[in-house]
Amino acid sequence: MEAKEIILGNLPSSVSKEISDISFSDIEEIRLRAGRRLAVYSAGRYTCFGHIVTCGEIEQTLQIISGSSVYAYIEEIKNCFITLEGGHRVGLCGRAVIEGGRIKNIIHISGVNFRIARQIKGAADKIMPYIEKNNIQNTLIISPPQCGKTTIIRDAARQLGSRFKVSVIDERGEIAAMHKGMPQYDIGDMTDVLDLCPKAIGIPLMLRSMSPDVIITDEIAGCDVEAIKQALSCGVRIIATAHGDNVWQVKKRLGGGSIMEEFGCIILLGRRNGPGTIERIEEIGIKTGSKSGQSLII
Amino acid sequence: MLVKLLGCIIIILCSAKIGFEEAAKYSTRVKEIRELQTALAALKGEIGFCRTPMSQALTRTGQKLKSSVSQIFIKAGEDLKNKGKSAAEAWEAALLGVQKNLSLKNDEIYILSTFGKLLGVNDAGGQIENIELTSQKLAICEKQALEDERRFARLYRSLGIIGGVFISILFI
Repeated sequence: MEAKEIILGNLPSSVSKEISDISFSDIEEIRLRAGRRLAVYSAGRYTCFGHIVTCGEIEQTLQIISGSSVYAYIEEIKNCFITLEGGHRVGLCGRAVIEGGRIKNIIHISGVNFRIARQIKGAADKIMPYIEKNNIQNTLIISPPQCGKTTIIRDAARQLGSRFKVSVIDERGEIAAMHKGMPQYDIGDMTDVLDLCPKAIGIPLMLRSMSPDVIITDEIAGCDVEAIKQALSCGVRIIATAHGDNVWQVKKRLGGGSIMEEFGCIILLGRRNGPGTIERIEEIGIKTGSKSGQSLII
Repeated sequence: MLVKLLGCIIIILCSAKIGFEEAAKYSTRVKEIRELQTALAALKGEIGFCRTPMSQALTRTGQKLKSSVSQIFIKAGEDLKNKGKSAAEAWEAALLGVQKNLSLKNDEIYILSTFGKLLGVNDAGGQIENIELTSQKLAICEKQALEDERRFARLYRSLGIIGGVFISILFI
């Protein structure tokens, strides 16, 4: 099913008719905010439509995307997102219900963000020589949101998965976009996917069960560091992404420098020339400095 | 004389049939309420333990039932598979469609309609509370339905026969 069909099918008819005529080839986001205009982010800029989104439409959207089964998606809702068929992520925000210091639920949803996922084969071509230098390098890809991290590691999984045993810990269901046990993207013949599992739990599980050569995972945080260290101590290679603007920021967030020293290759992305622009590549002991600034994705 | 006798027998039989059918509605109502309670217990299991998505949970629950009540669950479940419809809308449409084939009274239909409005909108705890509350309301309805059955079923059966005899006498 095409992205347009999936996204329009998950919007209330009053909203979908507003955007049914526009091309989805460049669309990155569709935003619904209660009481405000419907907005679409496409080709680097936002376009607001005349339609004012109501609370009822937001509520209806949640009902549609969850198949009227909010209870079945409560873990995803607690994490403020639901992944649709095709790997498209729907971000949610509203009022958090806290119990014992933890989010129990998100109620009164006030904003919904449809992020359109795409597979771009060859997106990782430019960084593959750095990842596969002599041996597979432990690689960390750093960038702010919407710079193409997931698209690039999805392609890296596809390329490595044709030659190595790759395990993908897909906590947010975006890399492989599993739907009823089938990956919605080409992620390589020898790639195994642990879907919607927290990385801190999933990495040791995959180490024991699937004996991977490489583990690929998205958006690592401080709580995942121990699991990553465990994988590295077992001789398994890690390719991961992290949100951030620079290495220092990520180092601070991951709780010190020890884990950063394990990465043989650190790639910084931006969107200066479109999503996936390589800003900088740092290898162990070698700083290649600013690259061409060429976009990997567009 | 033979024609008159034959006519009287036909009138009595028809009248008795109407009386028995009316009486049967009271028994069917009790059976349907009990079946609804069984269905709600099954739905509670699907949602509470298995976290089955609503469309599948409703269809599975419907398939376990025997009477016309099953059609509400099956139709709502099937309808919900079409994207763009909420569980409340699918339930209400199914209830309206099946209502005429049921012996349930307005009280029970109102309870089911209210139950449908909260279908799938909150977490498992909220869904289970909605199911339990509906089940409790149906238990009260069941008591009333049993009482009605005891009072009116025999009355309608007797009325059917006696009415037929009375009409026959009038014709003779």
